Amino acid sequence: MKKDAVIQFYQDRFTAFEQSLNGGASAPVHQQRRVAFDRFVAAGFPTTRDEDWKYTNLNRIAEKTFAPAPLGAMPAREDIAARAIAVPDAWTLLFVNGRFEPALSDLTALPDAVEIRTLPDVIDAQALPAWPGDPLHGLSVRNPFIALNTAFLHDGVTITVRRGAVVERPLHLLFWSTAATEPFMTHPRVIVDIETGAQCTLIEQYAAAVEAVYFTNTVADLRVADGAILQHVKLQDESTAATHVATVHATVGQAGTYAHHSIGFGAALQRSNVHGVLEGEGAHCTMNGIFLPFGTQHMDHFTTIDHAVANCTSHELYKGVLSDETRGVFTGKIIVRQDAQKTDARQANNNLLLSDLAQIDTRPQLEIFADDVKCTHGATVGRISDEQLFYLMSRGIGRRQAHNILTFAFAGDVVSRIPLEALRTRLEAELHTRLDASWNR
Amino acid sequence: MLEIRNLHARVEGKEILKGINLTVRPGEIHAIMGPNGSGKSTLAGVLAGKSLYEVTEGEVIYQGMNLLDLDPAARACEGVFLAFQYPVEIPGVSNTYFLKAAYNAVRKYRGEEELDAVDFLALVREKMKLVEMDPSLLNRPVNEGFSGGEKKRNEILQMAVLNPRLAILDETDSGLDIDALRIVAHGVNALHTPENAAIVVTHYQRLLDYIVPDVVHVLVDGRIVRSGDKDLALRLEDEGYEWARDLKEPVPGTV
Repeated sequence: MKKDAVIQFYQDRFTAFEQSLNGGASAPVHQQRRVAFDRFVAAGFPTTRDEDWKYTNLNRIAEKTFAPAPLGAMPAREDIAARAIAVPDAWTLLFVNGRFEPALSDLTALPDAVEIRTLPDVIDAQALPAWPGDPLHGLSVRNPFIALNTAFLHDGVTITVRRGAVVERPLHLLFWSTAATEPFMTHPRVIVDIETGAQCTLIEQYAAAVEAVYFTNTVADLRVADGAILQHVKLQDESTAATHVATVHATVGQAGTYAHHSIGFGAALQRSNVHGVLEGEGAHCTMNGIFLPFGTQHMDHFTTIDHAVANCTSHELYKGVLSDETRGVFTGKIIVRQDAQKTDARQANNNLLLSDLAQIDTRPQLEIFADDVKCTHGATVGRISDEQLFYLMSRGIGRRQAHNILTFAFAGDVVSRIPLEALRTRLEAELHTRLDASWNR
Repeated sequence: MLEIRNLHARVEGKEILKGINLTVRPGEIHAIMGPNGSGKSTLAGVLAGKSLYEVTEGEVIYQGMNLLDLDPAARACEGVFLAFQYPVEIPGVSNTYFLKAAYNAVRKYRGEEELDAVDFLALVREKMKLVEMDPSLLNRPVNEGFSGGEKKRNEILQMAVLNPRLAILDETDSGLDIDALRIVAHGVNALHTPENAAIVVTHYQRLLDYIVPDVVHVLVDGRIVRSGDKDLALRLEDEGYEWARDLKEPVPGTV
């Protein structure tokens, strides 16, 4: 489709969406939607001529039309259990094609200190709170998908963890997509406030029926207040026919910690934008990720850690294991503002290519405006070492097991840093299965 | 136990082994000595199945099997063990995990039951005494950050755990101080029985003060030019390899 035709398509979708809102179009949030939609129209989808999107062709989105998400489908619990990696011992909110489904959710005995509201309930009465990631405020990275998400804003959730509360069990958001007659799109929004001194683990999971074709455009707006800790596990295991675009924007207050653990298994095309802004002194940000594409999957991770003030630390480790004809992209932008003296930022991106046809583009981007800082970065691209393989085999370990031991040794440490033992065990088992599947492909 | 017949092998197109003949019987320790570049490590690598080496001629019969038909893992499961000159570091894999995987792979191959973690740890702790190894090395990644001596002890520990029929020690003495050398040699001697055999590849005679060979072979330019008893090693030590280098062809009756 030509750009005009793409815009016309979304214009029609937006008009239909407005009509479907009935009275909702007069709610204060709708003005925000309109502004956002205008921004999206002005920007259009990025192309590979945009530096920030250079290695990811978005024709899979721009060349296709997507219907509104089909509602009312009630997936069977067994179907979900068969496809979605189980998250044990958590409060679960399940969303079907973007919409909250109370019958499949479980918030039994949720503490009073955790306030959860679904987005339709919130935006009926009030506008969205202003947030730094909003296109209305501008963002250093060009990302029209945020505007698109805001334009179609309807579903999602707001979570507030009250001051000083330590939430013992994880909060689990499972976004489940069904197989529908035509490709559809969802634009879920997750808004999280971890108030001063509070601690919480959030697991954001995407899974789907086999062969489901859809486009997920999700935005998470996370605020970690002074002294608060948020552990955020993003488990992307969409259908391999899906397109997944995600934007996470986290701000961290004084002495607060935001830790992002990204697991990339699914989707034909994934683009994940993760932005961490360290706003208060002594704040810390961890960003870890593992991605493991097969076939022709394309996985693009674009991360930004913005050291806005002094004395903050950040650790970033992304790893890719690429088989077949897959393509991976990693961009690690670290911004150290002029006032951010004594910044300690470490970044590494290591990739293992298991096939001659697999490809990875990795680029660290350091923008440092302060003079008394410590910033390290490193990127590696390698293959399974013949020497290591021979060493293991010379001790009686078969070639396939040796391959599995070496690939797990490479990939396992990202998962091992997830601070929930039960989930970690399951993810390690899943990783073992996937690495075994990468044998001899 | 092992019979090597007219073995030729090359590395990246260059012929290194030019017709090796060697017979090893159970209970024997053979030393293979020779100058740098004579093909000692190539011979060790060919026996263990390193893919870098291409065998162009000859055969290797081990326990009645054609050894060259087996992949490196099958050779190890059949009881061939190579102690590496340069043990390989494997980040991310703990030494215990590695040892257990190897031990159980060999058990499984032989149709034996795998050992669980508790029993295995007891076995390893017992074997570690033999090489006087620091137990903390068990939890570290394989060979990563190990000193030269620790790496060599770790090789002998693996040998003790796997209990091979035919051990091939490739320059195990290189980079070892005298104490470490004594400990490593003690380990090798303690593991030696009338049923198993060892091939000790070395550049220097000093290892043979501790591991006494039944037969010494001199390897020059890809061929064994002379074989004899342990006194041959002493002669090499005195006269140097220049003497052996002149022995272009095997002396009849000595091989």
